[in-house]
Amino acid sequence: MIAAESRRFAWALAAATVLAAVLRWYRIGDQPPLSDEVHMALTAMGYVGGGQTLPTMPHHPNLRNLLIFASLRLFGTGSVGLRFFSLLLGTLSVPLVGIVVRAMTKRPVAAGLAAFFLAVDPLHVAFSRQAIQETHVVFFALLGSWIALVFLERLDRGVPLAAVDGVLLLLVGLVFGLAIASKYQAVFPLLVFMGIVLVKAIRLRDVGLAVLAAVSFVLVPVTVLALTDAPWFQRGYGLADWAFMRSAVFERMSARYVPAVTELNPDRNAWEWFVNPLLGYASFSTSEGKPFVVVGMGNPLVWLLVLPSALLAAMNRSLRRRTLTLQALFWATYLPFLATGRPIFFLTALAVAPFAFGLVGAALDEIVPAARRRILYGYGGAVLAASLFLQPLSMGTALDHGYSSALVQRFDPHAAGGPRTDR
Amino acid sequence: VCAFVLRGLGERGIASRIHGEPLRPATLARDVRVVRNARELHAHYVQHGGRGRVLVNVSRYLHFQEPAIDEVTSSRFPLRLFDLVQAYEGNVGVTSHLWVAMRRGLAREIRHVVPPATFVEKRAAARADGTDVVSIGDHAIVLHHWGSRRIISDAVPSLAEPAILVVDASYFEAADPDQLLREIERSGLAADVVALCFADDNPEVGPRGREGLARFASLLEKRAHDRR
Repeated sequence: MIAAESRRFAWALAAATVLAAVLRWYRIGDQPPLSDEVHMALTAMGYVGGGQTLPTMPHHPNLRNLLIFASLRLFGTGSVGLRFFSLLLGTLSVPLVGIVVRAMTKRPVAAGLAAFFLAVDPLHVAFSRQAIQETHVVFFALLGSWIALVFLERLDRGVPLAAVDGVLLLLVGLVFGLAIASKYQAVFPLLVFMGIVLVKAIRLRDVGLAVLAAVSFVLVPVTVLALTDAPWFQRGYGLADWAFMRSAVFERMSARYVPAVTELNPDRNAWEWFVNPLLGYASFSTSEGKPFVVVGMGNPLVWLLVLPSALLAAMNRSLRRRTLTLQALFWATYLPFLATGRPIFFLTALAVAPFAFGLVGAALDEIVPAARRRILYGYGGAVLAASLFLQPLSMGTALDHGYSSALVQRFDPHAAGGPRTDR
Repeated sequence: VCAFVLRGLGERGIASRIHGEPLRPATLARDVRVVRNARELHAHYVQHGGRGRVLVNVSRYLHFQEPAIDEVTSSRFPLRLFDLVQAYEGNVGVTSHLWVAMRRGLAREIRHVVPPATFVEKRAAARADGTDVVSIGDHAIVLHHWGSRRIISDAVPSLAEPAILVVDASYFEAADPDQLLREIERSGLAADVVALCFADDNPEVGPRGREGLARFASLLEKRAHDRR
């Protein structure tokens, strides 16, 4: 029974992964480079060659620069060479979110739904097709979460920790380090797992575990972050300079945030993410003398269910018990964006989306009776149809279609007064 | 292992600094060059400046703007990738030579020494727009350019390492050459490269500033002769 269920789950994940790959790789060679992507390539070359973090997004950590440099070297300066790691990690995040949600909820249907939602999510598709760090951070945060869950499962067996457990926990720190070296927001899920492990260490009165947790969740990620800054150090900087640089840049982008040039992407409030179905993030370029615009939007049939699902998960006793870690990850990642005073653009919602989709999957699994699973197929079909409707926006071809062109107009920078530069 | 890696990164970074043989005080540096404008100044940096340095710029102006270059976006694949630093160096000018020096990796930190009246103006500006400001003191404003330090001060700094010293004619529009010389010697600043710029490309600089720089150059020469 369990083997059959696992087999079905594996097939479901495989199908979701294939679907994800098709949506992300379809006609990727025809998608012209966005202005940001060209700057990303130049930044990657300058970073590896001379430790410089300009001309674009110097406030983000530097793993992206190393990955883009590597893929340009491996695959050349074409579309795949520029976007390879976004495409690869974006696709692989789909089975990973399924595995993570299943490990947390023990419910394959919930996990399969979460994987399907991410596979077809237009926002995730749009950023998987761009040379930018948004899908990198999602992948590494999910991978770190999975390894942390494996570690916690072994810890809960009640047998003394073996060497392999120590290695697993260090691996959690290493992978979360890669996530943080993509974008700082990965620190929120890391803190959740650090809290869980520390609470267990206190309950078990295991000082060794507490020390190992501190090393794995603090020292290892910091070291990984510093290692990805190695080209920057080669400009003559020491460790004290590095600490200064990281804190100064963080403060510049948080407490002292001012857009370099007027930021015109309209959606900048995190509270709207799961209540306003029209939100998106637009990236611009020109191609053959015409404007070229990619707009990443959420699938409203999924995104509008996130907060009701979170509410249900909090109120329903059995669902609450099953989704405790998932809820902690969702709220720990979402609340800081709600609380901050600076603009938070819609693309950042990808940090929360995998956990949000997990909650929606778990809630649907809870409320749809086993005998009426056909409802889920119908709902899944509607979600797929909505995503296919929005796919031209994710690919930058929306202006070629009358129906989607109207959606793009909302992001017209000229209508709002000028171009946008900051993220 | 983590501590070892972190320490190694920092030590390797510091070891990557390249400078010439310093002399203390800086006024005795062997390599004192007089240049006419920012382009000549930049060429001098490139030839003698080394890498990963602290650059002390004595000037009324900060000269830290990104130079305009041709649009770098490309609308088709394969991408045309090129060395941006070369593009910036092609357009280096009076307002941008320090920005380019940092972008090139020559300067890792810039110490702006400005006349006292200019410092007061800069302090007021920093209080009004604190985007890149780390701290504001009575004699120093600590800024950063994406994490690289820039410190504006009304006094010549005392540093633990040899610097590149640049003295711009604009400084003497509002300051005295003899006093600057005394300040440099009092600070104990060491330098291996000293450049004196007449700022011919800066319309804001008048005869007073250039005469002041010429006087400063002759003071340096006399000081070196006396020591010999």
